Amino acid sequence: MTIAAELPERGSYFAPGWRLRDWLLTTDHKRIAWLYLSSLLTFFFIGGAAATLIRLELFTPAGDFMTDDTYNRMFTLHGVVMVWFFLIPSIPATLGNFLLPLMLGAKDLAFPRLNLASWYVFMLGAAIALWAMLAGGLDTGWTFYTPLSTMFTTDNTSIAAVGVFIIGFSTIMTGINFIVTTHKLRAPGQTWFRLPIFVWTLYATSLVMVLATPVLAATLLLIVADRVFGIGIFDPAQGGDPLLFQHLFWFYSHPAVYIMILPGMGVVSEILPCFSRRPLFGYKFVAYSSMGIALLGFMVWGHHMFVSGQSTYAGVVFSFLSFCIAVPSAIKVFNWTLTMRKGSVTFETSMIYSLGFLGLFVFGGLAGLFLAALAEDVHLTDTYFVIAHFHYIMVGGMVTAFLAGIHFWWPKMTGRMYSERWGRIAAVTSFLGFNLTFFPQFILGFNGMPRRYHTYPDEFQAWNVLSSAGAVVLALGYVMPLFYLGYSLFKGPKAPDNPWGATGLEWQTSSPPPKDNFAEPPVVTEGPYKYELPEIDRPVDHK
Amino acid sequence: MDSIALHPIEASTLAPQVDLLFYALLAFSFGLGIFLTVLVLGYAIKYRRGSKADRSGERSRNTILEVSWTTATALMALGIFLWGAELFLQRDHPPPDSLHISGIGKQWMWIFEHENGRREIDELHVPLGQPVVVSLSSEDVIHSMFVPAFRMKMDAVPGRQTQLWFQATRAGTYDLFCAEYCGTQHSEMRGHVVVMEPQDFAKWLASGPTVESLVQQGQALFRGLGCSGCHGPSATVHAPKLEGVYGHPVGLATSQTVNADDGYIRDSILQPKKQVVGGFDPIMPSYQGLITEDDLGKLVAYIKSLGNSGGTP
Amino acid sequence: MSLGLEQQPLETGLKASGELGVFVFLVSEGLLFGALILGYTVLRLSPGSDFAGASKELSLLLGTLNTCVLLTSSLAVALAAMWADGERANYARIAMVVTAGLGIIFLCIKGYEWFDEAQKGLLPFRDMSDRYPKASPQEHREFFDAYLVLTGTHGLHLVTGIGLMLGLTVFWKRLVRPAHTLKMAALYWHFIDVIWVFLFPLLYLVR
Repeated sequence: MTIAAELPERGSYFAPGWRLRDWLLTTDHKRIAWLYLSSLLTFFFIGGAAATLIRLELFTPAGDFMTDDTYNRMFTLHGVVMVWFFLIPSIPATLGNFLLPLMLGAKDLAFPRLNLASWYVFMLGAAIALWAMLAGGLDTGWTFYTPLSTMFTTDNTSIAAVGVFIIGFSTIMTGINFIVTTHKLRAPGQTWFRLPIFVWTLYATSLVMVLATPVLAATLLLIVADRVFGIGIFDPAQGGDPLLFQHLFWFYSHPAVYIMILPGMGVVSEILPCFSRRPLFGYKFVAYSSMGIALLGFMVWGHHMFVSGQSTYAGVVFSFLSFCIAVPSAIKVFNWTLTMRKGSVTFETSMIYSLGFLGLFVFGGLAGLFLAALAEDVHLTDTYFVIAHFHYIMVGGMVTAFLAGIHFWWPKMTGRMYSERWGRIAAVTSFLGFNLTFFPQFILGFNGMPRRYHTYPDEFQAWNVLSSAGAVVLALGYVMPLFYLGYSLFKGPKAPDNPWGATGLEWQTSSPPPKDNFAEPPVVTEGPYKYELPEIDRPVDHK
Repeated sequence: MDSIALHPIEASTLAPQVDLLFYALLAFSFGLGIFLTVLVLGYAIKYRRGSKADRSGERSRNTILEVSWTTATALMALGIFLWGAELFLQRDHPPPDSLHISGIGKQWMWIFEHENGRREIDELHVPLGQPVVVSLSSEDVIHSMFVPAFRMKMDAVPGRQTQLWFQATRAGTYDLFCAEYCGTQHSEMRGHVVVMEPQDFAKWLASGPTVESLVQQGQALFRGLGCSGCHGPSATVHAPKLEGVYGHPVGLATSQTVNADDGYIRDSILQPKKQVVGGFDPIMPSYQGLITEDDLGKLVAYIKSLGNSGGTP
Repeated sequence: MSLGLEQQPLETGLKASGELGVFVFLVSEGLLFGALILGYTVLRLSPGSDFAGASKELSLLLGTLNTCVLLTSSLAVALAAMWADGERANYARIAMVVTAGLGIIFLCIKGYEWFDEAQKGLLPFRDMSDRYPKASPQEHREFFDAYLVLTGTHGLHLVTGIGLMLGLTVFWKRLVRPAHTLKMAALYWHFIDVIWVFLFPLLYLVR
C-alpha cells in the first residue's frame, strides 16, 4: 500500500514514561486509547456481572433470588452500562483512537487535547450515572420511557440522566475529532478511495455520533426539566404526549446502534482480507454501504414503536425504510464472504472471531427482518425475540468484532504476541457459549415471554435454563482473554512490525509505534488491500 | 417443569396468518443463513492455505454480481414488507359486529369492563367466534396488553385511547401479559383471557354481580360532574345538546364539519377548545386531570347512548 | 524511499482543522436546539395549547431589548475578530470584554424576566412545591414549558460563551494562536446569537 518509512529509531510510545501523570495527562492518542480500554473493560465486566445475576434469577420461574425492585434495577444497570459505558465508545475510543492517525499516516488526531478531555468527560458522566444506579437504584430500564421515568420513579433518575447526558458530550467530542482528522490529516497520496474500510466506518460512525447524540441530550434535558421543574411535555394530564418521548428517544437510539456496529464491520473488513490474502471484495460497495447504513439509520426509528399507538401509516413507512436498510447490510455480508474465495485462508484467532462475527451478525440481522415485518412485530415486540435479536448483533456482532480487533492489533499496540492456542480456544468458547445463551431466547420470544420479566410461567423454564447455562460458558470465553493477553504483556514474545503480513500504514511502523507514529511521514501510492497469494497457493500460470 | 413451550397455541383468526408469515420468514432466514454458512465454511475450507484448490482468475470486484444480489435482496425485502404491512393494516378495521370491551391498565393490574357493566380484574371473558374490540387506556404509565395465543399486542397509553381487536377461534384459557415495562410489579401484571362458547359467555355475562351498566354509570357521572348543568334540558347556559350527536356530523366554529365519533366525544370532554361547535362560545371548562380513564369511558358510553335512543339526560 | 511528491508538513493543518472542528460542533448544537424546537412545535400544535395568548404574557419590550443587546454583542465580537490579527490586538481585547459584558446584560434582563414571570406564577421557580400555581388555564402552561426549556438552554450556552470571552481576554498573552482561537470563539458566539434570532419570534412574536 505504501512505500515503507525508514525506521532509524525504534523507541516506543511507552518509552516517555510510566508515571501516573504520563498516563493521566497524556495527549498521545495511543495512550488515551489505553485509558479508554481499561475503563471500558471495567464497565464491561460490571455490566456483565449484572447480566450474570439476571441469568441466575431467570434460572427458575419464581422470583426467588432477588426482589422485584432489585431485578428491575439490575436490568436497568445492565442496559445503561452496556450501551453507554461500553458499546457506544468501544471500538471508536479504543481501536479507533489508536489506529486512526496511524492508518492515515498522521502523528496524532486533529485535536489531541480534546481527545484527552473526552476521556475525562466520559469518566465523569459514567461515575455520576453509576453512582446514581448503585446508590438508590435506577429502575426505568435503559430506555427511560415516560411517564414512568418522569413521574413514577426515584429521584436518582435525574442524576442518572445527567450522567448519561455528560457521556454524550464525550461521544460528540470523539466524533468531531475523527471527522476533522479524516478530512485534514491524511497522508499525501491518500485519497478517499485508498482508505481502509475501517477508516470509512469510523467516519460514518462519527457522523452519526455528531448528529444523533444531541437529540439524546435534548431528550434527557427534557426529562430532567420535567422532574425538577414540573414541565409537562411528556405528561398527558398537562397536555403533553408520552409518545413524543419515544420519538425523540428512538431518533437518537436507533442511529446509536449503528454507532455500535459500524466500527465492528470496519474491523472485520480489515481482518478477512488479511487472513485470506485477498483484497476485500467490492471495496467501493462496502464503503458506500457503510455511508448508506449511517444515513438510513436516521430514518427508521419508528420501528421501535409499531404497537405504541403511533398511526398505522407511520408504521408502514418505518417498516418500509427498515427493510431498505437490510440491503446495504446484505451487500457487506456478501462482499465479506466472497473475499475468501480463491484466497489462501488461515485461522488465526482474530480470523476465527471474524468468522464468528459473520455468522452471528447474519443470524441477528435476519431476525431483524422478522421484527421489521409489521404484523410479525406485533407479536414479537417487547418479547425475548427482540432481546435475542439485539444481543446477536451487539454481542455476537459487536463484542466479537471488538475482540477480533483487539487480537489483530494487539502486537501493534503492545509489541507482544499472545498464545494463538488460547486465543482460538477462547474464540470458540465464546462463540458456542453465545449461541447457547441467546438462541433459546428466540424461541422464548416467539412463545410469548415478555421482556423485563422477573418471574415467568413454568413452561418457559427449560429454555431459560439453557440460556443461563450458556451464559456461564460465554462468561468463561470472555474472561479467558484477560489471562492470556495479560500474560503476553509480560512474557509474550516480542512482536515484529508486521506479524500478519497485513497491508495498511499502521503495519509500516514499529510494534509498538514510536510516540509520533512514523519516523518519516509516509506517502501513499496505491489502494488498500493489495494482498498477494503466498507462493504455496499461487496458481501455476501466475507470474 | 412438566411442560416446555414449543409453539404458542393458535387461538385467534389472526394467529395462523401471523404464523404463516413467521414460517415463511424462518424458511427464508434459514435458507439464506445456511447458504451463507455453507459458503463461508466452504470457502474457508476449500481455500485454506496449502489446499490444492484452483485459485486462478480471482477478481476482487464484480459489478454485475453486486447489482444482482442487491436487487434480489431488495425484492425479497419488498415482498416481506408488503406481506407484513397488509396483515398489519387489518388492525384498524375491526368487523362491524364486534363486542366492545374497555380495558384499563394501571400499576399493576388490568381492569376490563363489559358493555353491561360487568367488571373483571386480570381476567377477560370473551365469546368464541365473535370479534372483540378492546379499547385500551392507562391510568398511570404505559402498559401493553399482550395475548400470545392471539398474536395480538397493543400499548395502553395514558392520555389516549388505543384499540386492539381479535376473534377467538378456540375455547380455553390463555395467558395475558403486560408487555411494556411499567415499574416494580411489571412481571406480575398478568392475567388470563377466557374464551367461552357463546351460550356460556352469555350466561356468564348475565350472572355477574349486579352492577349498573356502563351507560347507567355514565349517566350518574353526567349529573355528578356537572355536565347536565349546561347540557341538560333545564340549563340556562347556551351549550350544544347531546341527543342524537354521536355518529353524526357536527359543524364546527371553523366552518369545518367533523364526525362525532368516540375520539370527538373524548376530546370534547378533555380539550373542549379543540373543536368548538359552530354557534357556541368556547366556554366549556376542561376535565383534563379531573376524571379518570375509567370514568371517562363510562361518560363516553353514556353520551353514545344518547346518540341512538334520544334519551333525555 | 520518498518519490519526489510534495510532502505535506506533518504538523496538523491547524487553522483548517480548527474551523472544521468548530463547524461540526455547531452542527451538533444545531441538532440539540432543533430537537428542542421540535418539542416546542409539538406543544404548539397540540390542540389544548394557546401559544398566542400565553406569549402576550411575555414582555415584548424586554425581549426586543435583549435581541438588540445580543446583536450588538455579535457586532462587538466580529470587530474583535477583525482587530485580533494586527497591531490593534488591544482593541480586540476590549471588544471581547464588551461582548462578554453585553452577554451578561442579556442574562440579567432574562433573569429579571424570569423572576417577574415566576412572581406571576407563570414559571415554577417561586414556589416549587406547587410547580405551576397560576399557569392554568393549562393552555398557557405548555407555552411556558417550552419557553423555560428553550431560554434556559440558550442561557446556559450564553454562559459558556461569556466564559470563553473572558477567558480569552485574560489569557490572551499565553495563547499560542490568539487570533485564531478568538475567531473560533466568535463563531460560537454568532451561533448563540443566531439561535436567539430563531427563539425570539417563536416565543415573543406569536400573537
